[in-house]
Amino acid sequence: MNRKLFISTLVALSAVACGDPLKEGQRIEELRVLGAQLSIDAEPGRATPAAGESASVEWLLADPSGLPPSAIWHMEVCVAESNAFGIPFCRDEPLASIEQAEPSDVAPALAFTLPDADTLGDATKLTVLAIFCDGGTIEVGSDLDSSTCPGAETVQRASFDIFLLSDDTTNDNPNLDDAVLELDGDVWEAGSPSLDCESDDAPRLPADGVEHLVSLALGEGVRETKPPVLDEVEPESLQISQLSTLGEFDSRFSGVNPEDSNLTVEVPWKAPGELESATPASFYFVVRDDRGGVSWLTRTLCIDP
Amino acid sequence: MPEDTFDVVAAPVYYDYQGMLVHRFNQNHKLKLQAYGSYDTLKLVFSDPNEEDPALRDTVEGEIQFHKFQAQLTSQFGARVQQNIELAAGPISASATIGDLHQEFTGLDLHARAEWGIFASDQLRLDIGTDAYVQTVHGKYKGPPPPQEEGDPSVDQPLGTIDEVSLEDTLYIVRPGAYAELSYRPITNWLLLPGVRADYDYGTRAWIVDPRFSTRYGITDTTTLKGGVGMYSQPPEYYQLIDAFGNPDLEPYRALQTSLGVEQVVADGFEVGLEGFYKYLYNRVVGTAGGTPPYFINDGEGRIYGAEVSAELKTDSHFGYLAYTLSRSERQDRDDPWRLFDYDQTHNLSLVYSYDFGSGWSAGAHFRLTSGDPETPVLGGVYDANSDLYRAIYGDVNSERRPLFHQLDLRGEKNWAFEDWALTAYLEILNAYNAQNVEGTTYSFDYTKQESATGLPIFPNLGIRGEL
Repeated sequence: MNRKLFISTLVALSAVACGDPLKEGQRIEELRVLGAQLSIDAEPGRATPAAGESASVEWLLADPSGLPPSAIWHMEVCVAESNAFGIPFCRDEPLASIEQAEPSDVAPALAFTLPDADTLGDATKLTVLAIFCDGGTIEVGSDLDSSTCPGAETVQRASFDIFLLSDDTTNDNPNLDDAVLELDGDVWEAGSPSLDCESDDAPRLPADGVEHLVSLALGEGVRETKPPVLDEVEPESLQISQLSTLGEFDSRFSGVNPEDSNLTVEVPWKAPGELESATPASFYFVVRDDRGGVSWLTRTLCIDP
Repeated sequence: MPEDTFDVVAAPVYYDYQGMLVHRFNQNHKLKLQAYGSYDTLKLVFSDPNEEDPALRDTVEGEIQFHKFQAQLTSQFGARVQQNIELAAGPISASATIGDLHQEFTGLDLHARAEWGIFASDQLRLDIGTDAYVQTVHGKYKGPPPPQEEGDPSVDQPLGTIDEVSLEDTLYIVRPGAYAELSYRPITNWLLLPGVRADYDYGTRAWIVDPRFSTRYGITDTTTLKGGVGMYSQPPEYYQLIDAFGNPDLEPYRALQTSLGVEQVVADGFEVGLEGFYKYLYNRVVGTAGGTPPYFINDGEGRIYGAEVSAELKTDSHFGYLAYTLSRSERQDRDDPWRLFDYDQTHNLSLVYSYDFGSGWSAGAHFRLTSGDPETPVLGGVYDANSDLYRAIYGDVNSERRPLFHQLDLRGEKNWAFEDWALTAYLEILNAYNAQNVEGTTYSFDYTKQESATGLPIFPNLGIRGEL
């Protein structure tokens, strides 16, 4: 790398720190996919399945309603070709698939059993390829790019890589059992995902454009120590995506770096300036360990005019 | 940029140095010793992961340095033999960290060349030589695998969507070579230049022999025909041969280059030229379909063809130069359809003019007009649930093109010449008419929205320069 390239690379990196001016990723303005989590039947916390094990993948969807979104979908899981970049694609025929042709607000999920070790061969990962739509009719193409939903306003194509168990990849989903969410210093408990804003019991905030502080204390058990890479052993780094259906978080991502001892992240959230009626708002906190492990927390509030 | 983007910004630290000592042993032997090097470092600490690519988080820092000692001995043996021997060697090192990604290497860099020019007669000259490039580096790498050098739009994808690879290794780049070129004038106005170059590449364990030939023929005192044909070769990049993310069985890639042209002196100080060219590339190193093992293969071709017209005006007070190239540069990767090269420019016009008013005053202008760079359309995005980012769905590679690029730069200066030094004051105006040239496209995080990014606006620049 020559000096010009070196300096220009760093300058370019600093230049992209300005956020996304075209669309705010932390604001849910249409049907969105926010994450997927693998759960192994025999050991639900583990994120890396072994040959012959049964498992399921559940997806987290959201839309601006603040309620569980109604969507149609198709998904399939297969042994992935070992391409390091680009959109994942299947090496073999799908192991399992499922389709929801009529709109449903049930969380999309796909159960499957991994083939035996001989069939997996030198495969290192599976991939789940999925399409989610807010209406229309699903048309599954030869690959993810060509699958679509004529008649839908929003089409979301998605993939989720599942890394197979090995000495180098053993991994659990981030453990959020001890995680504590606070809103302006008060513990923020999980409520019903189908919040009724007509009810007096619903937690609420006014639509006054005021900034509130959300903090997420992840708890000591949230991350593991990574298997050694180039003789270096360090804890996982964690990426937290924070999103809301109303108002706006200050940033799309927070992070916990390997050297961080403080496992609490804080991010301001600004309430919407005005609303015509009491409206449910959903908040999503998706924690990733960059090794295929994913967990999430959701919270709901009513925002009053 | 928001004020709280970074927690820590360490100011860039850099230095350069160079020194030279020349010793003339006698009229025939001269030794030149040079030492030079540089050091650069920069560090940023992100307060939050980057919005577009959360792999850019925590610390982003880099350091690069090299130091080199160079010795050159030039000798004249009698009236007919010249000798030039050069040796340059020194340490190199670099490191870069971007969040969890890291690379570092240290090594030694060595260039050597020995060259002899033998003037057998007024009609015949022979140049022979040998050179070698040796680099040995030990390093660690943890990051994305390298993409195809060109023609792969996925290089723009966020780091977070790319699987990491890691390795620690020692690499040896050893490329010795030898060459010979004959300059022969069978008659006064005809010059023949046959030559050959042979190289060995340790990385591919390959010998390559490239014959070349060029000629110039003066039809009249004012008209010269010229032409050439030759083979050229280039070994794969060292990282393309690394087993972890490359293919150790790659071979060098080759090019056949041809040209034919004419130069015409129209009047004193005014020359025009016309040259056509054609190049055919084969054995190009390209990525495998879908980026699967062995990642790189020698399965690409290329063709470049076009013509260049040039005119140069040079008088006491006027200097003008015009060059226009009409060309097409295409590549074929594997069995894919032919596509445009990433930097193909159908039209490339450059016009330079300056006028010397006398008394140290001068003014000039530089106008450029070129085709916009080819661009690959983005048709949508696929959400990657592992990174919470979207990967672009691309259309045909380089099937669209940015708008025409045009820019006028103006410059005026006053020069004061003193006995031992000179002082120049200048005013230059870059992009004088504030052209809004499109130099890129940015996309929303999910690739549903896009906008064009334009280059520098009008940019006046006032300066003073002193020269010893």
